[in-house]
Amino acid sequence: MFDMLRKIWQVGTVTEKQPFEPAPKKYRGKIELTAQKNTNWEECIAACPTGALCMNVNKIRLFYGNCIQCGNCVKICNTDALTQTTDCYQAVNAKKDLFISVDKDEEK
Amino acid sequence: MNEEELGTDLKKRIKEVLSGSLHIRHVDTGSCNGCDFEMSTLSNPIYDISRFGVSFVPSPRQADMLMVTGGVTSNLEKALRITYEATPKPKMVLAIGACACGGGVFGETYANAGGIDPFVPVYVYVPGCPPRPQALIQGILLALDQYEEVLKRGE
Repeated sequence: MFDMLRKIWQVGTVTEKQPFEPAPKKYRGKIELTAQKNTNWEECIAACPTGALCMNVNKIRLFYGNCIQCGNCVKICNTDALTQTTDCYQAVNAKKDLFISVDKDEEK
Repeated sequence: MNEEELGTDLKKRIKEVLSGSLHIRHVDTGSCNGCDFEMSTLSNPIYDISRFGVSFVPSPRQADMLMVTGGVTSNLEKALRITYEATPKPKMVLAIGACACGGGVFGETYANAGGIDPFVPVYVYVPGCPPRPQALIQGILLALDQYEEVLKRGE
């Protein structure tokens, strides 16, 4: 019993206080997609393991519902079109909010 | 929604909408257990969601909310339907993880339906592989907003 009490004394409170700590820097969070010229879209799309990133005629479409945030597309991308953030708050009410799409040759 | 004080917001909203406590039933429809572990993390000493009035219950008949993980496999499709019917109205359904939202790594095959929305009406989608516990709390908050509207309409 004394061992247990000693352990409680040593460890103290472990419950996270408000506000919650932000995700660590290495955390792979939400992928952001912006329009950029001369991006190797075909290779990025081929690197996606789940088919979340896909091309529709001239539109590049990213579906967050399928994205597992592995970061393969970010590694292969030769511009800043795809970036990985540490943002983890992605819950939405409607499924259509999970889609984002940009033009293939548009400059932003 | 204030991201800084998610837990306090959750406690306040649960008191306003459900007058006290929120009971969650977890439904596993063929997930890899990644999301399930994140969900059980919510009730451990570090996140301790019980202090905000949320508890996980063993039966859907006591639950206000269903948390569904996994793309629905053909074996568990019936289990999901029965669980949904057993929950008293009005009921919230959360799709947790990439598999429940749109198929994820398993995709849409003859054995895997690719998302739970063909079977049950979904309140909130929480993508991520797996989502963090904070993201789950945000999902519950969004669902409560929608639940309040449903209660006002009197369905």
